[in-house]
Amino acid sequence: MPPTSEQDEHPAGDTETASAAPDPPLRLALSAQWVSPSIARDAVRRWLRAHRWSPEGIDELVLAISEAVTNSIEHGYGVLPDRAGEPAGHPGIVELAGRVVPAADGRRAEFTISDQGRWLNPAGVPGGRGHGLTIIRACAEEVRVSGGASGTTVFLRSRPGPRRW
Amino acid sequence: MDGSQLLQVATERNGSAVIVRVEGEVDMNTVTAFSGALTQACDLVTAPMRVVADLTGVTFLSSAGLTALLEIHSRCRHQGTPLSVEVTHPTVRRALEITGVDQILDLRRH
Repeated sequence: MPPTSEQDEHPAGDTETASAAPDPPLRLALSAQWVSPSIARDAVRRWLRAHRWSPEGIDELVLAISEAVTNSIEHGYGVLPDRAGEPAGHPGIVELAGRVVPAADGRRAEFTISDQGRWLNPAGVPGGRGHGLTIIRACAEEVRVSGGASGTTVFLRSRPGPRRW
Repeated sequence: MDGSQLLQVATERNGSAVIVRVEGEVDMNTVTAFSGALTQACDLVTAPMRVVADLTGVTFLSSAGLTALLEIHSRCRHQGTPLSVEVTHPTVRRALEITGVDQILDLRRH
């Protein structure tokens, strides 16, 4: 299904030779509200299922991405945990992008979760919040967190997924 | 959307236990209700009664939920009322294992 009409496809895939991948990338713009992690989880689960990812592999990535989106909302945009019913804690957007890349020992799913909020050093996060990063790191083959004045981006690459498309 | 739609909590007394049954997803959207129900159960029990967190209907448990469980755990410990936690869903079990919280809680896997 070639993306003939959509304007926002192939955000991260443009460095590769367009191999007519049967693999539409995942693109989501989430508002900085507490319903967003749940929306991200559903979308990632559906997307990975469509790519024949294993149930265990899906569980791990859903856990990791949910925590990364949560960190963006909580730490990037400073939305408080008890503001569930309020329409919007912050006008900011959390962008979630995913793509599947080929590899000899099994495909990988790569995700970026980006916000334009304030940078917060993960090491400076107090108390039980540390569980979030523990989960993100444990659920991926590689995790990179980069940040600055313009926001924070978390990149994560899955463990080997299914070999066949 | 209101967080309460994504989580259902019911508390009941059964003999010497206060059972908190939770269904849905525990994350930042719902953790206040989750934590509140468990705290209330803690308030209801006196030793040697116990608290059972029946999370068999929970399909997702985030780090915020793990932190809430650990807080209730230490509170129950402090007042001498055992807490046990029942889980079934693989995603929930995985979150507990990855963080080592499964080693701290009295976990019953179904």
